[in-house]
Amino acid sequence: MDVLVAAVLLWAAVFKLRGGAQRSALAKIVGKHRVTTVFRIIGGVEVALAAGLLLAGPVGAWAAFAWFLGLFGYLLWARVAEPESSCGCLADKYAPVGVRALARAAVLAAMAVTAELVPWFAAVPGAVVIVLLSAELDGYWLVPLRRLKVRLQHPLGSTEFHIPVASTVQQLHKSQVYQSAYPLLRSDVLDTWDEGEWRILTYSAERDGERATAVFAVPRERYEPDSIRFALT
Amino acid sequence: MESLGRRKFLTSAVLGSATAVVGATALGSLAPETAFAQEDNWMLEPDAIDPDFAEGRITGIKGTMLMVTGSDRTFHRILLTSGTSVWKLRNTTFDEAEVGDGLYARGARMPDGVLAADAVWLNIVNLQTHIVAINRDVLHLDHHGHRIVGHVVTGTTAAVYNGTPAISDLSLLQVGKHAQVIGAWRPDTNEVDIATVYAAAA
Repeated sequence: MDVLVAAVLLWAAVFKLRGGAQRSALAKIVGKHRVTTVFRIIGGVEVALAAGLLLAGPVGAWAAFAWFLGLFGYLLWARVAEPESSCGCLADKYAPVGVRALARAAVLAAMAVTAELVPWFAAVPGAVVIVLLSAELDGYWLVPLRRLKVRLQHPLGSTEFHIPVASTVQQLHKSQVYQSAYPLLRSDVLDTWDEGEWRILTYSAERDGERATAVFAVPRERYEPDSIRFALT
Repeated sequence: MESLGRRKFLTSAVLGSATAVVGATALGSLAPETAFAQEDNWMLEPDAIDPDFAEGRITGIKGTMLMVTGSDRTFHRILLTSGTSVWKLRNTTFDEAEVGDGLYARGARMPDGVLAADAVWLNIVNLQTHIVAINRDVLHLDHHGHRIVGHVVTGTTAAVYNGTPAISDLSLLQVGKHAQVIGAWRPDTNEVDIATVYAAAA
């Protein structure tokens, strides 16, 4: 179990020593220009803690426990003070501080001190829990899983086919009739309805200071901006 | 909705016989230059407040007058007429405006300070997001670390893939990909109804 905790610490340390303090809430405490240095120091401390955990027995375990407790406190603060910031714990990947990051810090703290009490194979579910709680790793398992689900279920594939009004408006905007009538138009789409092969769109317009209604007839199921008809009433 | 009679009248105006063509050319040249020729009546200093624009949330409705408090606490009175276009997820009518709705309005400022609106957009939002998950009629979106629930509205929601014309087929959206969403916010929630989603299709 302590090997697992040490591995997580090393992983965090390697990421931190390689830099990548962007969007970390630390910038608020130590200042933007010092964040990289502080990150390096933290990385060094984490390496030392990992070594201590493996070599120094209970002292190392309690040191790691204190460290994770501190991390828990820091994350709690970051969540309140800098909700936009990234955890910056294990990877460069942007992962806002959430319940999962807090739970991970707590679990790691518990693991550090209970390593002696549980059998070695408890590290396997422990590792799974750590991965599940790491938002940084979602890209490796959660996103592919959701993609697969979407491919199997097609949650949005069954909607019936129709021509959206947005499509008609796009076609209208491309037409020369609309572009020349544009200075007269005062409003956005006022009303729209279908008339056989046409879709009618109305706008309110102004000509010579007088209010009018601009009416466009756009082919509904064809893309022919040149055949769009227009009237001003 | 305008009355059916009015629709019938407008339909015949645009589709009936040759009037449509006469109407178009009676405006003068059809060339785009005509459109740009009128641009210079739009004279605003770069940092000036546009008097013909209002933004805020509806705090009261009296008849066809909307009382709106801007995000800078400016108070606006916005008058809607039969010629005002109202957008709330789709083009709709004045009755759909509710207290609490967010609003953008463009029109003409009257001497008494009332904004006579030409166009009103209710709850419209434009979000740059990532698709986190797709469920039945729901897109879960990540917007700068905030989770947003995007509801697909059958018959209204459209998708634009790679800049091609909008279609109703949303099945090309992919988890983990970027999507720009134009939609109608449901006030005081993290939910939007999606009008148009712009995405890249693989």
